Amino acid sequence: MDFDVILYGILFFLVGGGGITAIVMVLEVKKHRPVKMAADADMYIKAGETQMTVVEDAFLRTHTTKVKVASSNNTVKKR
Amino acid sequence: MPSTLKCSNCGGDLKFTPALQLWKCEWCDQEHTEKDLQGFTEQAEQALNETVAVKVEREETDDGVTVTYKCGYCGAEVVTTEETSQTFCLYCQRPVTILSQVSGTFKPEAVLPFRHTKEKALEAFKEFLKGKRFLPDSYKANQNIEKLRGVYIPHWLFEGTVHFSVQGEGDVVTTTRQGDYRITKTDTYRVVRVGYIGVKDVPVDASSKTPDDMMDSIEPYDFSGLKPFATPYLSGFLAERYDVSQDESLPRADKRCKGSAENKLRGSLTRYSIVRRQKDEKRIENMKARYSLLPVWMLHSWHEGKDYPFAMNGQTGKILGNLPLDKGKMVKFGALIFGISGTVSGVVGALLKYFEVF
Repeated sequence: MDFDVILYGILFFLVGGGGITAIVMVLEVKKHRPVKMAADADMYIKAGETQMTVVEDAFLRTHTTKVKVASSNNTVKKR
Repeated sequence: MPSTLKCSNCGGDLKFTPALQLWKCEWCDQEHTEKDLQGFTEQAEQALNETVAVKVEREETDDGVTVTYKCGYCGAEVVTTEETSQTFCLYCQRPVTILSQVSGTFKPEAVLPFRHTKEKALEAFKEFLKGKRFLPDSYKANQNIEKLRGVYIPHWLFEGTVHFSVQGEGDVVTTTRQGDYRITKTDTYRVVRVGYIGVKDVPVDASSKTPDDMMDSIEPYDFSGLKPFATPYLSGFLAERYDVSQDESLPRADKRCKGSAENKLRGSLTRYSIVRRQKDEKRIENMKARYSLLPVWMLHSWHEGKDYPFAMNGQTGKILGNLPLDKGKMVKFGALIFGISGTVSGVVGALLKYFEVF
């Protein structure tokens, strides 16, 4: 078996396994720590007492950047 | 001074029944409606004079101040904290209202009655523990769920208007590709937003003993069910009086209200990738608060010397609490997930390489 294949297998084992485990563990631990401080009072906003009296979006200027990127023709496909 | 409410039929003790939203006699099952409230209040005042209600002792300890009352019925000592306004006699199990704690400056303006019974709270608590993988076995085994108590927690309900004004520059960024080039176009706009939001009944926990984050987490409450305060609502439950003043609570209300203003602002600026604010003002006007009691089912459960309190919103049934973690279970579960997901990922990676996908 090609050395590269084994290397990729080990790499995916460590990165994939570690990543998925970290996500699952964070989700599970969060279930045990659901309590948090309220950051807003959105649930207690009075109906009909919210208003934007001024909404202004005036165009000022534009700026364009052009960056050369590798074209698909330059990619050499290994076999 | 403690007092209890009496049934007009047999003289038995009355308790508020959340499921029925009325007062029921523990002895003859006679039901008393809200219309009788006035009568109850007068009765409570009368009971104040009739029952032997003596504040026996006030003692300062390392854990705070304890106050001892003499139960008006059996004469037993009722030991409680200085902030308690409603409690039970441990010997005769009768509810005891300490009227001095719900009168004068401590008299609440409003009370939100319990809607969920203790039975529902117990079920919800058991349900909450389900699916928690890292819960220590000793914690599950040592639960004293019978210690679940309905408590009226003091809150300040703030009302006011938040005015906001933001000025700055916002960028709308679009990226396209033309041949071998990636073109990024940034349109800059002058952005101005001015407005206001009105908030009503923003609750802020006024008891230093209950964790603020927990009280926040069991919100929201439906304040349309708020009633003018009357001591009969306390019967059958515990109650505390505030020990965090309105002024001390104001910064928390202020932060929450300004947070809502910020949400409103951000909602109107979603088209911009970035907004550079040159002016950002938020101020609250006409802020006022009313002192109210909100219903909470509380359970204190201890694990390895640490208290893990649970709270359930007594009106809506929303339940929350932090739970202890079993590190051994975490390691085992983590190793299992790592083994399975790592093996699957490794095989996929090796196959992708073998078939020269990359």
